[in-house]
Amino acid sequence: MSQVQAPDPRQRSGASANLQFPPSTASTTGQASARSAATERSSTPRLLRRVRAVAVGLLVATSVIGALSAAATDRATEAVRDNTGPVLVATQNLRSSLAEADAAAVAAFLTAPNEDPRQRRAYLDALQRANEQIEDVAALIGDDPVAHEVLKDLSADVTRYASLVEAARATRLIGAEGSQSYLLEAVTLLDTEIAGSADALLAQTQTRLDADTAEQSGFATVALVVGLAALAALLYAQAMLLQRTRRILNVGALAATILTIAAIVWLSTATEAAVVTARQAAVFGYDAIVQTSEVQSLVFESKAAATEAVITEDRSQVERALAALDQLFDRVVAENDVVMVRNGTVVGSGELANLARTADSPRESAAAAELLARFSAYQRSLQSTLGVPAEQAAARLAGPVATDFNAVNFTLEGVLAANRDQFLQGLADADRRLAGLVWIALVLPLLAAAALWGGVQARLNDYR
Amino acid sequence: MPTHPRPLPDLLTRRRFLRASGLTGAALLASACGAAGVRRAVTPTGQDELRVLNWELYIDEGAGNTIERFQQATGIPVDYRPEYIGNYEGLAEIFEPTLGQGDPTGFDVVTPTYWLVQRMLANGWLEPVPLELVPNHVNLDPVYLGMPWDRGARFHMPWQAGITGIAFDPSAAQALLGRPLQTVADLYDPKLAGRVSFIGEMREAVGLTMLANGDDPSAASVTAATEALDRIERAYATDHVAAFTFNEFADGLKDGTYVASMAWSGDAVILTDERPDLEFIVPAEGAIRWFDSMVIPAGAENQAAAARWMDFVYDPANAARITSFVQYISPVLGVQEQLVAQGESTLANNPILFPDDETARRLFTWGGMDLDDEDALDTRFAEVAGL
Repeated sequence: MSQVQAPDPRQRSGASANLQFPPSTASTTGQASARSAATERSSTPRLLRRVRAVAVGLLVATSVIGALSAAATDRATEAVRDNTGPVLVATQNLRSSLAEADAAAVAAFLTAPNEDPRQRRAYLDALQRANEQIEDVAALIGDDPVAHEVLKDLSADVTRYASLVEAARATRLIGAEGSQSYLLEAVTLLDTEIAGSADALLAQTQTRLDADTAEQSGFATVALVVGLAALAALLYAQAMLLQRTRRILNVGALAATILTIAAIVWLSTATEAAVVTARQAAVFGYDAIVQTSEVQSLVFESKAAATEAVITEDRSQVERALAALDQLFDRVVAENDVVMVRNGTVVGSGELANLARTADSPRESAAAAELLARFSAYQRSLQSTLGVPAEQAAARLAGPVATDFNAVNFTLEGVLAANRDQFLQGLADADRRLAGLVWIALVLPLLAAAALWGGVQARLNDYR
Repeated sequence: MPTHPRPLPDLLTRRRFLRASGLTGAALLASACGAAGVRRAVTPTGQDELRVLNWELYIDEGAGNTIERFQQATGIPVDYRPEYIGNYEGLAEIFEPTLGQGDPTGFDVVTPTYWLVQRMLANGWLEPVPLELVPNHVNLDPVYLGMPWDRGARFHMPWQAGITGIAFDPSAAQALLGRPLQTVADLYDPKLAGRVSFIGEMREAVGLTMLANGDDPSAASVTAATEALDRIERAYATDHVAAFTFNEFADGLKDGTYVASMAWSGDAVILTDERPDLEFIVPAEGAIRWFDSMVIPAGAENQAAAARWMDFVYDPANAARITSFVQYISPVLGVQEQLVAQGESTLANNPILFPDDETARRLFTWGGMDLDDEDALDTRFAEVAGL
């Protein structure tokens, strides 16, 4: 029986029927090698295409997510600058205006029936300012339901406060009974419920501030992870090109790698710098506002207690007023204390000392020193008022004490305004750092994708 | 008692210069719109010294004056220009062409009136006062800390303040009214027709008339201010008001042309020194308080020296010397005590320089009006008064 061999596909069909070739080892090896080479040639392009697709996909994702991240960071910074920050400041200014209104209302009350028109004017001005500040806050807090609820209470309480002051004034001017009760109720309302609402508003604003600053960096992390994955894919693609094509350098892949690294570094450093700057600004701004708020609360508490002490002759209110003064500064302020604070050395304890300790520049130390000096005048006038008969005390409370209280209050407002400026400057710096980041995040990875595509395509063309 | 040997006619005060220049605030507003009358543009020179622009005769003079002592104390040379002749002129000729274009004025300290300071601050034309270099900021009277446009006085430090009230001749008033003058409303009494002069500053003439109308010039509304201006217009049109004056009211009072005049307190102190038979009062309804403030214009080159200057003049001893000369109300705490200490008790006890609490209750600083409305009022006042 003749041996039938499988036709060699390389043989021409006419020769195969007539010519017999013995099996050859060399010939068999060559055939396997040829098949292997054919397989390799067919699988490398396929692999390159796959790696390219993955890397390009990741780069496009990096571009989109990076741009979205940069835009989100920008939006969050703007939210802090345009909303949360101003709400913090407006809330504290509101507190200040109400304290001023109350000082004036009490002084006007105590001078009745010869009401001091300056105090009446000051009261009306401060109350109007407070209402405007409530409107400012309402416009700035957006759709935050918690803040709106607090603000609604605050607004209602301020209206109630104004009614009580007017009732106290009217009854006092006509010599009717109950005027003192109205005034005390007003002072207590301000000292408790309104102050509490202001605190709640500050706390809610702090929550928003935290959320805004968290939003600044949250999305960026995702973008960076995707970007790093794209970078890994690029490196793998380069390694494969090196291994499979024996080409040391693929220009397109190298350019893609450089562009991707630039995009990642740019996105991460700009975002980080912006976030850090904004957070520092927010923290400094908020801390300063909280501290001024605490000082102001205590100054107001001392004044409210002294008012109650003078009106009711309740000794416990004298103690409360003195305790509030002690909480502000634990001893009578000496001239040297002011000089030392100005020079950056803080002695003593209390909220004013704490505020002075946070000063980190000569200007802030100077502001703290002036605040201490103004407080010193208030401390002296209030302490001396609490030791004299009620009638004299009432006159002092309406005169020098009110003046010195306002001086502290105005100086605090000045400190607050300086902090606000610093805060806004910090946010402006953060905003500058983010300038153009959206486009950079969008364009660099896309350029990298294009470069990679071109680089790999050049190699693939070699296989055709 | 320290007296002022200088007879009034020889003394040009900070506001008297307006008359010398033939201009009023309102006329200067017109000049800003192209009319003639601006004295000249101020062009300071020198880069290293402190350059101060202030009103005429608004600081002590003679040997050992404040400028000399500042230079000795600090080693900083001072180019002091007493050439600020009006707020409208300052705005039109100095501030808008420089600060308005983002350029420095060439001065380190300028001293406009409070309402212009407010505008400059709103325009972003002011540098904050470097408080770290001004420890004497603590001597600022708390009254000035509470300006709604600059809480805590971070951008301005008042230089001098004054009162616009009524100066009058008591014997002539007795003859015509049968009693001394007591109120702004008395200025409108028909018995004084043709014998009164009104001040040529809108905020003060209108403000005083608002007080007479029962309105509050510190919270001025357009309606109330217009009503007051209408009243002034009628009074002038019917020759009830003889003239709108600045410092020259004093001449008219002395020679009997006027029985009563709206007047500035600094001039009144000097006038009553010379003629004790004349009086200056804060009317029953109240009077207008004003002040001029030191500010550092944006881009000032020598801000540290400006701060040193502010600190120096806020030392009560130095401030007292200035008060003793200019006789306006000092915004510096401790000046009264300092005057006593240096033997000037009469000045220290002068109620015009140091208003008591009862008087202070009746002092109003113009405010509360929209700036555009104020401009419109200024223009109309200039037309009404023929300035």
